[in-house]
Amino acid sequence: MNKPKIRTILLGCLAANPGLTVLLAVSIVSSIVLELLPPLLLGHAIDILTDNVMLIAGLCFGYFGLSAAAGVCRAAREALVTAVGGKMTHALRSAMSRKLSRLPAGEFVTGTSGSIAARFTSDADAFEEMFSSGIVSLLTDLGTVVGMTVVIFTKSPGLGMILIVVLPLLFLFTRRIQKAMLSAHEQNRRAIAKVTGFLPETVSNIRTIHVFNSERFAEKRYDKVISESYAAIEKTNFYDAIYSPVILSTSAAVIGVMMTLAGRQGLFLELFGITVGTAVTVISYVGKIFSPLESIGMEIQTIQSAAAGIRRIREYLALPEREVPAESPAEAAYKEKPQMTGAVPAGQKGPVISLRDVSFSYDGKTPVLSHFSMMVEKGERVVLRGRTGAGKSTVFGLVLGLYTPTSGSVTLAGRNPAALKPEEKRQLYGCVEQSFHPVMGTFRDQITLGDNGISDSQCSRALAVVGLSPLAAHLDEPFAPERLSHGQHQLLAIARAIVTNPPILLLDEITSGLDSATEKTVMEALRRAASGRTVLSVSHRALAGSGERVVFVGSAETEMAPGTAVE
Amino acid sequence: MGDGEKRYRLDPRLLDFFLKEKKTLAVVTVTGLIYNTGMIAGPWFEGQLAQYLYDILAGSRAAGAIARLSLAYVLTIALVQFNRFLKRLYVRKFANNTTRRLKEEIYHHLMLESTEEVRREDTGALMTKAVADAESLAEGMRKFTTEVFDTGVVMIAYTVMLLILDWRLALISLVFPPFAYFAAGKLKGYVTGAASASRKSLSRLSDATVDRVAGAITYRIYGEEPVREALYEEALADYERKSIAAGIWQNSTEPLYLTISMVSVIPIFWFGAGNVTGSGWTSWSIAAFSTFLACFLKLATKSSHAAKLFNAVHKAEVSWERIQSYLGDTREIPRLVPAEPEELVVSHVSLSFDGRDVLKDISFTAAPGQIIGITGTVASGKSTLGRLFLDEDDWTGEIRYGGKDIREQKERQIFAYSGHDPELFAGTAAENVTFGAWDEKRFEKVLSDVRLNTEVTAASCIGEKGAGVSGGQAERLSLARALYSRAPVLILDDPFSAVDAKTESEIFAALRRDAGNRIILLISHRLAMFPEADEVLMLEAGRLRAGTHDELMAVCPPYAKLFALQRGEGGTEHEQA
Repeated sequence: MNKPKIRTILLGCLAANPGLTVLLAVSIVSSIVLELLPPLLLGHAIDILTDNVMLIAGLCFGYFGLSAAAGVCRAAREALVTAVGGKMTHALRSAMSRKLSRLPAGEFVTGTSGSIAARFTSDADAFEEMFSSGIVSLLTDLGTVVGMTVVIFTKSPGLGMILIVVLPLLFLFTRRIQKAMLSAHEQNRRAIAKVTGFLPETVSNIRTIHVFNSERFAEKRYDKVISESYAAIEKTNFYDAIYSPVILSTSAAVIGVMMTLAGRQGLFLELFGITVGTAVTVISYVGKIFSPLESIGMEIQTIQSAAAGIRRIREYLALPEREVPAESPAEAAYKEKPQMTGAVPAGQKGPVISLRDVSFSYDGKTPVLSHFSMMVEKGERVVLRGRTGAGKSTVFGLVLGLYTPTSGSVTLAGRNPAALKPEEKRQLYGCVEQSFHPVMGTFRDQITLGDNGISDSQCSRALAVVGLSPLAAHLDEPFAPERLSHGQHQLLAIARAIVTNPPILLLDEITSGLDSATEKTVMEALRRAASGRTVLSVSHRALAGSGERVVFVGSAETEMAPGTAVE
Repeated sequence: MGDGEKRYRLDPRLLDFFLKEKKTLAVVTVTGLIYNTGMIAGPWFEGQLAQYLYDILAGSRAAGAIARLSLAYVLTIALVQFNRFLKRLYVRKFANNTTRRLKEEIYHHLMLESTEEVRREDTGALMTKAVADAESLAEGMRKFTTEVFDTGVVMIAYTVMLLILDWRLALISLVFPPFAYFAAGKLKGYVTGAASASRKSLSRLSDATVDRVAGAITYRIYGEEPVREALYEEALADYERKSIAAGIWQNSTEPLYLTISMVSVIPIFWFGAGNVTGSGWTSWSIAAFSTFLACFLKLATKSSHAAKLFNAVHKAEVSWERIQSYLGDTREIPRLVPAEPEELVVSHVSLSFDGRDVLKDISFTAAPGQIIGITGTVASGKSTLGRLFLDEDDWTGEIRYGGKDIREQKERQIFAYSGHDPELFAGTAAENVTFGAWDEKRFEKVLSDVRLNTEVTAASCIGEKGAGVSGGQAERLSLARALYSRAPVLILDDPFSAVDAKTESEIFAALRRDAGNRIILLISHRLAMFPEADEVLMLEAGRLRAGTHDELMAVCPPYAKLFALQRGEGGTEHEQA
């Protein structure tokens, strides 16, 4: 699948809403034109007045009419900009959400979820802001500047020439300011990200802060973090404050020079000779030609501060995606890059789970598993053992298809686990993760994960198995994690795993945080429910129960043959 | 807008935040007044320039006059703009200082809240949001200050100018802008209603985002990614609808207000032209006509911005309401003095949650230097017993340390605690263990006691929520933290759950060796080390059996059974390792 590009997403969104897009374009163009007309009319009126003739009513109403039309046009433009901007941001976020499903599991290591979430929230917001108060207004303002320059040229070529010199200079000045501001903005964003992470950390560690009387230390750390943001903002404040006063002073200087020259005779008369009406028109234009420049400055600033966010979204969308291998027979997976096709016949004989000669490394350097093999036959209960870091969780990741082996093959029910379709997974296996991950929503959602294909009676059955039957009456209630104990969370995680009654159960570190008695209850419940179910479990220490087979996942340090099965 | 006035009355406590920035605001006031009254210089000079040009063309004035006038014009504008620069700079400085002060006060308040209060369902999230509110409050205060000058003062200046030029025409032309205010007041309800619906939807969306991202692995393992994507899409669509509605209300109202104000240009053109041609109320030059019109146009634009002022104030008001209870907390953070080793006596302590008894009539004594093993059956209240000493829950009975009730000596640091959650901070290992009270020898000692000296150094970086260290390392860092503290009583809740048996016995030996006169309450469901404890407490359904390991083995069958079961398993593991 091609990696999504921001441009493609946005153009696609515009193409999907042709009516809105066209209306937006029309409103931009007409608001530019309507901006140009009233000063021309005013100049005309002044010229009539200088001849000491009373104004006609049409002129009075005409001036109001044009101004009103300009106002209505602006209103329409703003409304359309908001609508189109909202739709584009929606499209962008949708694409980002789809991308999430295609990221390799390694991207989700602890601690990065906050920064990925920030791509969706603050960075996407920055895009919306950039579109509505950046790009569209920038186009409008640039159009206004060009239009006015053209009109001024026809009225007073001399002033036109002055503007041709001054506009680029001011533009260079604007650029300089922008560049300085961008770096300050980046600094501020980084600082704000730190502040954002700081508070939740304090809240979840409040007990430690109090017990160790480290409140002062925490305040000091907090001060350090907010000071970074303070310093960055101070820097932007200066540039922010200096910009438009410089522009407006320049505008006054241009008017002053023009008027001085307009009063001269000779050559200047050719270039600057204007009527009083034209002078009024032109003064009003010069006032207006610089104020778009001023807003262009602000808009560019908006765009600049959003640019960093957009860049991060682009980087996010360009992250390498996991290769979902085409369904491949187990044999084909022996090759280094399993890309073979061909379905595995259903009900195939052989182990339910197999790792054959598997080597794996997260970073391509430190091997975690080397030439590891193990099988789990149908109905077996297998426990993985080994010291911390020996690779037990890695074996799990491989069986779940979260990672693909560097070499060797992994099969689950005769299939390549990385190639399973989402809807097949819960039919094949259930997995109890190391810790229970609460899901936004109701109690039911904790078990179904929002899957409407799972019925209430399935939920009740699963709850009965884990001994949480009383909770079945509360399926529709919003889930509040703090109302259940740690052990109950684990039981809920088990209910989540078995609700679809899958033939295979994978239990990751089921013992952590549970005392042996609870664990025993759980294992008994599992045994009752799962006659004929195959279980693979990671256990740091002994697992109560009977009939399980232990497989030792060795590390290089112990020099034991990896994958030795100890019965 | 009588009702509006009531709503925008400044809370005196909010006023304090303005007053704390007196100097900054003084600069803003002086430069703001100069700048904004100076704003009328533009239209006045521009009118005069047109007049001079007219006179020169008519031959009644020398060409040089316009050059001098132009120079005066340019210098005046430059001066006005210089004041504007200062005003902008200082008003932003004001906002920046205020943001910082608000954030500090909120954090200070958080530091003073009790653990149970902070842990309560919403509090933590609310405080986190409060920091965002601090920014929007300061932003609102900045906009308010800015608009007081840029809208308020400048509108008065323009109005005075109009009255001077032709008071009758000024009154006529000032009839329409109030209609714009009236319309703004009428539409404000819709604007804020749409805005709040949009904010709510945004908050749902960001919850959904966090859920989608934080649960990514879970959803992938379960094959529910498409389902979650669809749910996320629903949240997105809802937000799109509501944010568009809010945006339309907010953005398109301003041009409409401007249009209403602009009705006045019809009489200005008509009667103004009369003034110039000599048939009106006063006699006008071209300069007067063009100055009057320019002033009015700027006034109309400004009055359309007045809505912005209300929006900014409203936003700030909402933020203020949310955070005011966190502000102004002047209590000092206590400085605890480490207590000396003394006897700890727990007598007849009971605790119940929601009417359910968790601990019943608990009594035991621990002398300096003792290690007390505490264990129990499932949900027997082990962890709750450990937390009794942290003064978080409401228990009855008495706990005495050195003969005095612990609730009456809160200024002493008696207890150090290491719980299920290692509660690590993003920072260095040294920061996590020492909290800035750095003592290299002690740190190295503690690190080697918990067998981390080969894996972690003082400068080792720990990411958010302990990223970058394993579960076992995090557990031992938390243990090291308790050992490093000067507290004479250590409460260690399940400190060995993620370390292997060998490391467990090594650490226990180090505790034994180095604890000195400290009391250690070792809460665990792993009993391997319990034979070496000075005393063992066995909790069963909230009730306590106390004795040495050997005594309990003899008289407490559940304890004996638990121990036997684990020894069988532990033995197997040792052989394998």
